[in-house]
Amino acid sequence: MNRQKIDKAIFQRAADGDHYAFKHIYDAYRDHVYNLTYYMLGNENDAYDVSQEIFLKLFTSIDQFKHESEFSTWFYRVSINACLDHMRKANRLKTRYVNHTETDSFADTSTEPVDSLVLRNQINTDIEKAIQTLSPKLRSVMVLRYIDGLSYEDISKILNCSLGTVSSRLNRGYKSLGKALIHLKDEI
Amino acid sequence: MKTNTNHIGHRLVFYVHDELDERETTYIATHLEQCAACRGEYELIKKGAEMLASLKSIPAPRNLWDTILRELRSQTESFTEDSEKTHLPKINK
Repeated sequence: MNRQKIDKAIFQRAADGDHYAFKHIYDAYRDHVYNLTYYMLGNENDAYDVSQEIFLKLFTSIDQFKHESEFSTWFYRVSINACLDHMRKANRLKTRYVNHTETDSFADTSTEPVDSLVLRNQINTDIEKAIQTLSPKLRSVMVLRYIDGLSYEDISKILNCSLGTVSSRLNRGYKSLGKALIHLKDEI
Repeated sequence: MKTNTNHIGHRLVFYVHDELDERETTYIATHLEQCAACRGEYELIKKGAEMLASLKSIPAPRNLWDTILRELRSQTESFTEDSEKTHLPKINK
C-alpha cells in the first residue's frame, strides 16, 4: 500500500479545526487504518466501527501530536491501541486467541478445479483465519509489517518494544502462518 | 520442555527479508545448507512472509467518511461544512 507524505502544515491546519486538512489526512490513511483494523479484528463490522473511532479520536486529539516522531508512528500506535482496547472490551482475547504454537490447518480438502479468483479469495480467507489465531502481540507486529511495510525500527517505536522483540515476534508469527497454511504450499 | 532447534535465532527473519549484511547472509546461507532443522524453520518463515505479503488490500468503505462526519456533527454543535472554504472552529473536547 502506498501512502502519500503529508506536509507538516496540514497537521497544524487540522489541529486548528480545518475540515479539509483533516479530510486530506483521512484520505492518506483511510485504507491503511481500515486494513489494520480489519486484519487485527477479523471482521468488517468491527473494522468499520473501530476505524471510525480512530479517526474521531484523531480529530479531537491531533493537537497532542507534537512532531517528535513521525505522524505515522504516532497514529499507528493510536490505531493499534484502539484495536487492542476493542478486543479487551469485547472480551475476545480469551475466546478468539489460540496459542500461536498451535498449527491449526484451514485446509480446504476440495480438489475440484475452481476459478482462479475464487481460489484467490479462498486463500485470502485462509490467511485471514490464520492471522486471527495469532496472539494480539504477534498479530500487531504482523499487521503493522503488512499494512505499510513498516521497518522493524518503526514497529518497535509504535509498540514501544525492542528491535529484538519485533524480530522475534515476526519470526514466530511467520512460522505460525507457515505451519497453519502448510496446505497452501504451492498456491502462492 | 521445548527443544530449540533454531541455531540462528530470530535473525532468520532478517535473512528472509534480505536485510543482513553480506557476511551474515553468507554465514546463514552456509548454515542452512548444513542444518536441516534450521532449513525447516526457514521454509516455514519464508512461506509465512509470502502469505502475509500476498494478502489483499481492502479499500475502506466509501461511506466511512460520511459516518465520521455525522458523528462529529453529533459531538459538537460547532462543526459545520457548508461551504468549500469552511474553516472550522476547533472541535470542543
